[in-house]
Amino acid sequence: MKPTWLRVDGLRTRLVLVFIAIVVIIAGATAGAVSLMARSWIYSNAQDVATAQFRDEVLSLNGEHVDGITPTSMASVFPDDMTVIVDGDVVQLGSANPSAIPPSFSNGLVSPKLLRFERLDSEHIMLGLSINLTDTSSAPGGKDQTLVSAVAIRPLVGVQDKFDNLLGVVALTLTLGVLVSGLLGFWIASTLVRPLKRLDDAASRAADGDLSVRLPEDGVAELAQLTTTFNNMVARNEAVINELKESEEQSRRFVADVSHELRTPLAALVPVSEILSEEIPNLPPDTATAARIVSSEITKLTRLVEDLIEMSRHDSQQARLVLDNIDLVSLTERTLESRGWSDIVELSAPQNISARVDSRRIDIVLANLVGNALRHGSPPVRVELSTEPGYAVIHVIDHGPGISPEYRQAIFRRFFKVDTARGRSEGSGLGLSLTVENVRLHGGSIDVDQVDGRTVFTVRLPLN
Amino acid sequence: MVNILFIEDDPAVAEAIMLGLNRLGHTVSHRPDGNTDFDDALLAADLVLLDLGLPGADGYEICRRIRTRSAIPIIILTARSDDIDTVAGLEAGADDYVVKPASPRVLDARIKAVVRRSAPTTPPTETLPAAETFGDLKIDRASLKIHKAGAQLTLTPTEIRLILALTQNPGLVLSRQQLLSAAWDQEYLGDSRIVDAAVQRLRSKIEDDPAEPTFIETVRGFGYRFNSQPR
Repeated sequence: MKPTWLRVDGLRTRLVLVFIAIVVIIAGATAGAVSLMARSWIYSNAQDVATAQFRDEVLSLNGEHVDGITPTSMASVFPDDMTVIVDGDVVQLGSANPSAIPPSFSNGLVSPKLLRFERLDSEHIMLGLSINLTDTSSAPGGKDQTLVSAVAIRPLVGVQDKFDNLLGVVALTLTLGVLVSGLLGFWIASTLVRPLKRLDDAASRAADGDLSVRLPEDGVAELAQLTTTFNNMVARNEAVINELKESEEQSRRFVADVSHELRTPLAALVPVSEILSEEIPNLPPDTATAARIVSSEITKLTRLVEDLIEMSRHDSQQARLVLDNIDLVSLTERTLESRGWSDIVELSAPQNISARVDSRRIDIVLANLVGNALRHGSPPVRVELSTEPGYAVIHVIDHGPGISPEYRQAIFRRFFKVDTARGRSEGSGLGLSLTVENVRLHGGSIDVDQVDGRTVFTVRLPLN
Repeated sequence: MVNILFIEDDPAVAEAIMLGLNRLGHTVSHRPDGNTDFDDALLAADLVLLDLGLPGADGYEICRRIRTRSAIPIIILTARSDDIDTVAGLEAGADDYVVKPASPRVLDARIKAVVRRSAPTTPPTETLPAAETFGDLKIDRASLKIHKAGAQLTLTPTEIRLILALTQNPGLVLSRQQLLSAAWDQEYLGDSRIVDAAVQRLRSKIEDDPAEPTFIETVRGFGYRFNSQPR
């Protein structure tokens, strides 16, 4: 990702671009106006020089005596670049072609000493002036004064160079202006963005769990409200999280204490109940019945306590996964074997299925589902392992009477028993709830369905 | 038959468990707290069965004290079932961790397994190489003696099995399950934490700086690898 200052949608970049745009618009407009005026001034100046020189040259010839108004006599009087016209006749051809002289221009040359000029292009000007010459060759009493018009095209000297220099200076000034404005914009933008950056850093730290982070309240006036709101928000979060931590710690202690207090008497009862059950054949009938009841109730109580402790651990968010790369097939084999179910449960599985799971919890899941199928279903009970994209799939199948559709979701509830006739004789009613909790903890799902007279529990576990 | 030293403060629990274990053929001597000096009792015992919540010294402390002077197998038998307690117990040097209530038969099986693991293994000598040396670590598979920088280390049987398993395949990553099968000869369902705890203890003995281990590397998400050429 590009750094913030390089991104067009970044505040800093936008401010820099705005600054440059303002400078370009203002300086460009000013330079344009100044250039236009300067251009006009340069032309006027060059034109004035050209006209003054032309006038001086021609007027100095006024009243000059010539021997006949002929091309030969004119050559010594007028400079070569002047086209000399007398009564419509060209007596000397200079820089102005007589056919190119507009009639409006030549018609204006009727009065002596009245200068006419016309700008031809950006670098040339046409000049014209009439004077009187005295013709010494005319007959006595004849006309001795003749009106002679001189027309010339002269260059406007240095106009383009001056204009080029002017444009160069304008371009350089504009470039420097853009650079300086860019730097200035960057500096101002950085100054403006700094409090926002601080706010961003503080928000990131708070999001990462650093709840001690606070912003100084004496910063930019416009951000004061935001700063106060941010600080209040973090302070409130800190208080809530501390309360949650305390509550979690209390729950953890409560679960640990309850677990310890319940387990300690059971720790004494369990060995005694085992001894009692071993002695049942040697006891008188009534005592044997009593011993059997005590022993079986202790077994149920032990299981109930274990299930309740495990459930309260899930409820108080104390249940943690100890993940390892496990072969689900070997794990299932071990689960069946350790409970003596290998001979009564069919296992259908590929060579191996490697998944990242907590093997103790998956063992509990398998044991609960298979145990349930063996207790409430009918043989044959079958465990099928397979994979589908991203998931390991465990099917636990039995051929029992099945579960009515209305109970299919309810059976996962705590203490729910489908078969009311079973009363309290079997299980704690927590086994399936714990199974669900353990599967969910892995990010998996569990379903039950009736397929061709078979009850199928399906567990899906993410492979990674 | 195993000679067991049982340290348990609750008289009813102690009596019931002793009754159960005695019926299964074990000899159990009982201590009600952690204040006693265990020298004589330890000499006579094959295994210590230890509760955690005890008056006087706490169970972890007793476990560490025993470990400083003996490699005797220790099983913690406690009502505390939190993961953190299990890990702390195993890291303190226990070989197994059993949560109460436990049936005497289950306890008997765990006791036998731990004692079996602790018995010195005598593999055929012809397959054994001479003592191997990795850096300043010398491992003699025949005599089961491990030396670091010339000094012999006091390792528990579990730790010896673990280091033998690791050094048998230097450079190879072994998963926790593989190490469980190799160093603990029974299947511990779910208790891969027992491997982590044992590795921690082993590192504290063989590494120069256990916080920066060079011999036993953790391969995140997989397991552990023994580095035969430490930095």
